[in-house]
Amino acid sequence: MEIVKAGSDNVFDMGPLTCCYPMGTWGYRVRGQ
Amino acid sequence: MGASPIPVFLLLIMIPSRFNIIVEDYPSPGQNLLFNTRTQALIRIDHRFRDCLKALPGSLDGPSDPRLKENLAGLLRNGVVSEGARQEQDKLDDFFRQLKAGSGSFPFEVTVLTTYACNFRCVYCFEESVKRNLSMDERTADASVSWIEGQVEKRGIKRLFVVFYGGEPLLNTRPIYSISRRLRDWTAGRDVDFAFSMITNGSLLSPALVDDLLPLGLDSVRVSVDGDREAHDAHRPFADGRPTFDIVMGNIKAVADRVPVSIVGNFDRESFPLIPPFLDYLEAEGLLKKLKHIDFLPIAPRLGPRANPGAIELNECLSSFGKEGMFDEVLAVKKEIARRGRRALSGLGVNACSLIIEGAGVTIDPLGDIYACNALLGYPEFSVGKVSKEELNGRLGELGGHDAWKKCPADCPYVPMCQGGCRFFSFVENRDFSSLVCKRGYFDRIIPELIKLEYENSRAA
Repeated sequence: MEIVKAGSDNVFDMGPLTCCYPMGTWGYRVRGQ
Repeated sequence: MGASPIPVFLLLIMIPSRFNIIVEDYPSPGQNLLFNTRTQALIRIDHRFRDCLKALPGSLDGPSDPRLKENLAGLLRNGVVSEGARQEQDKLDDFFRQLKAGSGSFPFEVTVLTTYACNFRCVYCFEESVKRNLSMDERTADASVSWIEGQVEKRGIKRLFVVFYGGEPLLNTRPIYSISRRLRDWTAGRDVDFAFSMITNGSLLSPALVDDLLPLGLDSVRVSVDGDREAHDAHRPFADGRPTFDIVMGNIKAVADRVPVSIVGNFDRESFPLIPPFLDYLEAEGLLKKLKHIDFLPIAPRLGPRANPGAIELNECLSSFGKEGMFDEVLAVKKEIARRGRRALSGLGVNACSLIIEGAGVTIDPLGDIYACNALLGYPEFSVGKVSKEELNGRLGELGGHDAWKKCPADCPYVPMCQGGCRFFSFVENRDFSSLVCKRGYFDRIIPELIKLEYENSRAA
């Protein structure tokens, strides 16, 4: 077994956060990046 | 993950998370990718491990694969297993509590419309019914700055980011200068990071303008280009019908070495085939690798006339996001971009709606009206405040305070990512902001592919 990416219970730790996921309609702004 | 002693009784109650998505036989036969939509953990396991996981809860003898027992602590930490349905629901409730509360570590992003006027006549313009010859005057620009400063002080914000937008923002540059100058000077003395960007059609972009704005805090420019000349000019002509591709691309080339430039465009089924040739063009011009970001997304529906926003326009675009939606095209765009040596974000993420998150970004229009969603710009009944008043008007709760995720089916694994769907789409489909907007059919088709892309990105990093 391999952990490719560790997860988090903290919503704002994981990325990316994007408006209107996953449609990305206005999601060009990827928060925190 | 490391071996860790697990009390025997936990083996009897541990269950796989309801938010696990398993992509089988990838990256190779016998291997599987497991992605958890609540924690965003991504792990690679073989078939035997996968089957033991699915067979939980176990027995006193433990799972038949000792690796599962050895790694249970890590699987729990990453949300792949839970101590029962009740505990997992508690974690989900906490997820939404966090989301709604917001985070002080994120920048406060304020979009400022310098004007509703535009020199283009894009066929799908989402501001079709609200654009007009109305520009932000200096009094409103001043009031906007005072409002922003008030928010930064009241909330102890450490990072402020402004995006100038429109209409076409470069038709009225005076507020870009005055607002950025004032905010640059004000934040400098207060240990607050400040920067700004612009979203523009590119027709008025110039080296002289960029050189003027860089010292005021300009850190990037985003230009809308919809594909090669044929696709772009069909979608995005000047208001008098003249083509714009050559002018826009000429301006992008002229500034690309001075400021980071992103290109974002819109497509429909007809124009999508013209994106790869556009990528070839960008490569040949030496631009593709220089760009900060590049992406293309399906055209979306828009609100109706100002007197009747519920008369939704471009309704046919809704099908792009349905069971037979344009997921193949969205994926193909990402793969085409990656194939040319640019790392494309997989697209996996968590919905961060500014109608839902406390203290999230807002948009200020040329009248000084405040909106919390760009799709609702220009319709005063959807405004959530005014820059002349420190407090918002209370309407935000009517738009975003419905906890739509509570209406999601219990067996849907996408709840943390989708959260009951987009509130704007709720209005488009149901003329209210409280409905469940379920795109599970679209997700079922696209999410496994995005998980594979996420895995490939991790290999390339």
